[in-house]
Amino acid sequence: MICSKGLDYLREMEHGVVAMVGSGKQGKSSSLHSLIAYCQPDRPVCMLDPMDIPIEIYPDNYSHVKKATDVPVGSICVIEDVNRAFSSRGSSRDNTLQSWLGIISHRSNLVCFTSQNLASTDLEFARSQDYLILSKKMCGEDIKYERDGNRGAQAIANYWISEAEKIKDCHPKSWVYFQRFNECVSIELVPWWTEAHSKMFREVKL
Amino acid sequence: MTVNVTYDEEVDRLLSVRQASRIPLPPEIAFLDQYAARRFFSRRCYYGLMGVGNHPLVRYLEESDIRTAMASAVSKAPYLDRMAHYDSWRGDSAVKVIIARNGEETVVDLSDRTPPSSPGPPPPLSPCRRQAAPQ
Repeated sequence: MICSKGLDYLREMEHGVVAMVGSGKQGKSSSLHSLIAYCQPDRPVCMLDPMDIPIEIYPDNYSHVKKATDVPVGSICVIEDVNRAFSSRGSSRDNTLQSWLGIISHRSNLVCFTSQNLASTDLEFARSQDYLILSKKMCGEDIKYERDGNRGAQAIANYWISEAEKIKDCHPKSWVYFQRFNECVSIELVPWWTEAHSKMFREVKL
Repeated sequence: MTVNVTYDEEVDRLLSVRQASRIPLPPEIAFLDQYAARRFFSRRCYYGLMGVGNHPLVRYLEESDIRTAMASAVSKAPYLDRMAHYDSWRGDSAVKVIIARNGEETVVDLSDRTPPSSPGPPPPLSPCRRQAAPQ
């Protein structure tokens, strides 16, 4: 029986922006990929990253591109740690991001990214399209430097994730708080996730 | 024998503040301005001396002071912060907790886990700390 409005909304999202926010090592990437596999298993996924990544450790429907303009039509675009590729003031110097986000609805792209702090993330992501924020836990020091508009919701997310973690059947890092729908959801980890996915950039040279 | 005693006003102030923090007080007093703080602590001291510190009316007046101070603090906040506060006050009873497994979604009831909202009763005054009643 389907009873989560948040998961239902994600299933129906053909285009838009999904932000997974939380402090380090809270399971942002694993939960994001698990949500994609749970809600939209049939869509191709494209990892957007200017650095070389070991794409062979991902399933067959995953691909890798280095520029936003190369993201295939109809795919889900995943950006790990978006602040590396699109820092907070980048769009004021270069309007590539703005141009790209303006046409993702035409290209049926769902852009999903992980970030430790929305204050470091370009505001164009929030302005351009349907913007869904998913929260993991964020520590007090990170909340202090978070954007004003997200602090209250993040504090609520922290509280409810802490309460939900007391449920023994679920891994503590499986919980995600959907701000728009006021739901705290535990999503099962995809079977292919390993330590290598969690530390994907371990061998990469900057 | 010579004893040198140094006096540092700032250190004294900090130590006094630290000592004062050992007294259990509701954290919401951080929102009280000087007039509200004077009224809050004068009332507490006076009614504590009279032995009615735990009377429901006295506690109601104390909570009323704190609510007023919090409302005043929120009213000075920017619009987005006020909306966030409204969301949080409304939100704590409306969050849905769901476990999604193998295509099945199960709602979990956390209704017995509502957060504490009351500041709690005021601490009793110890007999050795009697003070003159405020004017």
